[in-house]
Amino acid sequence: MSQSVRSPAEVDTMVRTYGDMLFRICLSILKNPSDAEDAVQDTAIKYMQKSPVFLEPEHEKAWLIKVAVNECRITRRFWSRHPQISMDELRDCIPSPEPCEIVESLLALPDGVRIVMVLHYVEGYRTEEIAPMIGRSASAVKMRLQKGRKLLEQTYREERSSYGERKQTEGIV
Amino acid sequence: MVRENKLKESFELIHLSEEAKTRITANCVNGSQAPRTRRTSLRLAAIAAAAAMLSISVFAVGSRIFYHDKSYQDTSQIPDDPGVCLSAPNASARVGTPLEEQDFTFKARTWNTDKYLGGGTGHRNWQSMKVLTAQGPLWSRNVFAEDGAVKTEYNAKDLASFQDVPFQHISADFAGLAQRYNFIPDSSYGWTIQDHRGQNDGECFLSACAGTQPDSWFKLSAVYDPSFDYSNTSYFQEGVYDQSYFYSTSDGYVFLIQTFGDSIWADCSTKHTNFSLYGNFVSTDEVEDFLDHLNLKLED
Repeated sequence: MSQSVRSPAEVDTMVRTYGDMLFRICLSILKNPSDAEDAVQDTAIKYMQKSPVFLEPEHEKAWLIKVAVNECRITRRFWSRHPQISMDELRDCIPSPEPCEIVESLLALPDGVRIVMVLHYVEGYRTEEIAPMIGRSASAVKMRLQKGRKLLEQTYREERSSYGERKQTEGIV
Repeated sequence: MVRENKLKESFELIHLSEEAKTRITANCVNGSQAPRTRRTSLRLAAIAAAAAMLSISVFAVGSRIFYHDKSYQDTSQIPDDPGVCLSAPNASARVGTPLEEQDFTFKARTWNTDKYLGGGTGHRNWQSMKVLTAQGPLWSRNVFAEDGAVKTEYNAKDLASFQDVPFQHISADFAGLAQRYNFIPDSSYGWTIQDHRGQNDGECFLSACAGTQPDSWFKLSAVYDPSFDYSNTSYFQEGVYDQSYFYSTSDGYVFLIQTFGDSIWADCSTKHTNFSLYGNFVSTDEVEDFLDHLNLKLED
């Protein structure tokens, strides 16, 4: 069910309410802030043009995530090459070093794992909610979460240990 | 849990700038033809430039390096080398063949005979065989070559039995796949080869599976061949396949997926190993899901 094209005010409200969340999700897939911004814009255009009617805010949020994930897939397939990580642009997004390291660790995970990690641990969705958003089964989502936790733990352990070395080298107690 | 909380805290520091939010809304209202940001313009220019170049065919992921066929727009972009291969889908592949018209059962019917001894690495002359077992879930036999190599062949009624085959360089989650997918009985075949010194000189497994849609099916094969170099890419013309894209699985393996009418291919190679999938009437989503559940190992 849909209404006529949404008004500018409705689009603006959606972007201000969900823009950050959509940007984080698109960034986790595309690993490039510029492309993530473009994917958010493409999602907003679909929101305005298709103009579906939602019974609850949570339905709207889930619809937006599903569209954003599809837009990111289209971008990746069109490119048909390995995504470029623009670390300088990423550091512009997160000035503090430790959080930036954690985000970089997540962005280094395999493609299929990153998005489920963000949807589960950052956005708080359960596996059965994530499955239809990304077009995978709930068991596939669970498997990817297990892999993601394991890989992140390995990476985090290495980073903590090197951080400890830097502290000793710099003489910081 | 502390670590996962840090992930949430760190990610929540990422925001779309106010300028970007205003621009996105304005672009939506003014139409998607509105001028994009300078950064996006640079990205579009980069894509246009990249489209004129050969696509990337080598991926390095962690310590693994993957090789794939390479696309070209113009034959002038192909190296002038007698070893260069050009690939294209066979015209007949556009129209698929339904599962009921296929026979994927393997040659276990001739297990006790000298028929069909061939196949393997190193272009060997396979001369004789000895059956090790022709009962139970996993049949096996040794095949002997003129140069002293021994090929141990396996034929399984159920792919899950391949968990017991001593593969060293290639493997998958055979038991998990057998549980999850509809593998065709007696279609699972494989071998391992020891040369005359007892050194591993090749491995292979292959199998066939019914898809989720009526008539659909796909077959898969994996090979380890230390004498063959999969890094020598072949080339295909851009646009000759309906779709052609790279897919990274949750294991970090990178596949080239290509479709042509009712046919689909998925390939991933390291220097001495290759995994290939070919199917009819199977969607890209189904193939991607299958690849994600492979728990694949390809090691040189």
